Amino acid sequence: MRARRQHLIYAAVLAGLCLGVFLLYFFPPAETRFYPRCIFHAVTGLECPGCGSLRAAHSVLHGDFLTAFRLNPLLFVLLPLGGLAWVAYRPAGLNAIPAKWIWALLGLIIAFGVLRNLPLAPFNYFKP
Amino acid sequence: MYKILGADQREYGPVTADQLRQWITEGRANSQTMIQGPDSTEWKPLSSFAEFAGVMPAAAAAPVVGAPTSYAGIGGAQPKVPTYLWQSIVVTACCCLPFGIAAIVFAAQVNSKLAAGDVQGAMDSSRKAKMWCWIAFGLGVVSNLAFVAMSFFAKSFER
Repeated sequence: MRARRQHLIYAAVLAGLCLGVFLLYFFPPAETRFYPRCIFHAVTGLECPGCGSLRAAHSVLHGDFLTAFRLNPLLFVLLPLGGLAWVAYRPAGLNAIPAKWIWALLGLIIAFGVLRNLPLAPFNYFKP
Repeated sequence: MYKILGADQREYGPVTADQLRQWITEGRANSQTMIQGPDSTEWKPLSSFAEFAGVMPAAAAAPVVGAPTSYAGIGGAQPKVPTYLWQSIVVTACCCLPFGIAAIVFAAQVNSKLAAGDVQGAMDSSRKAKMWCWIAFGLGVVSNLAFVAMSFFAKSFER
């Protein structure tokens, strides 16, 4: 019973992923209305650490990695890191991750969010 | 056979006297750990069981005021407390920065409290991490629905 439920969840996730890839490939997020918006950006006008992710995914699907990196370089750090953590901590469980690494991750996300809003030479290159 | 009550308020066992002796020498149980003896349903501190007096370390034999009651991980069963770490990172990046950050802070607290042996505190932080994840997620959904509604009305006002 439990295994069956798990299979259903996997199937639903897979279907959602396929739908997401299909939509992201054919409908550029920059010109399409139906994608979810960032309320943080809508309210403050600032770029949040996740802003540009959908556009970056669209660019990756079209093979344009440089544009994707410019839109959101944090993704290119967090996704491999997440994969690595998944491999390293899957046997022991997420409780085995030392708290200081989570604090470091939080610091990285906040620092990126601050830096990408600065109108200075190396950082404004990454503004989506 | 004996049963042991861990600091996480969970029962471990039944185990043999030999197994329990080994836990005592490994420091997983001490004189104040609550034990249910054979043919008994009553919980008593380990110090009141004469059969284990010999194995008790000298320092632990005399009950120390304020000493840690025992370990959470008796029998190697370290309890798992959900951190909601990846969920909180996703909500931080995808919709609601401040609430997502609160969730990540509590996720970090889950692991630091657990590492310090504070299982109750870790569970408390886990609940808060879960709460902030749901608040952030709900806010994201509601605000996006509001955006859709707003753009719909804005269109219908255009001539």
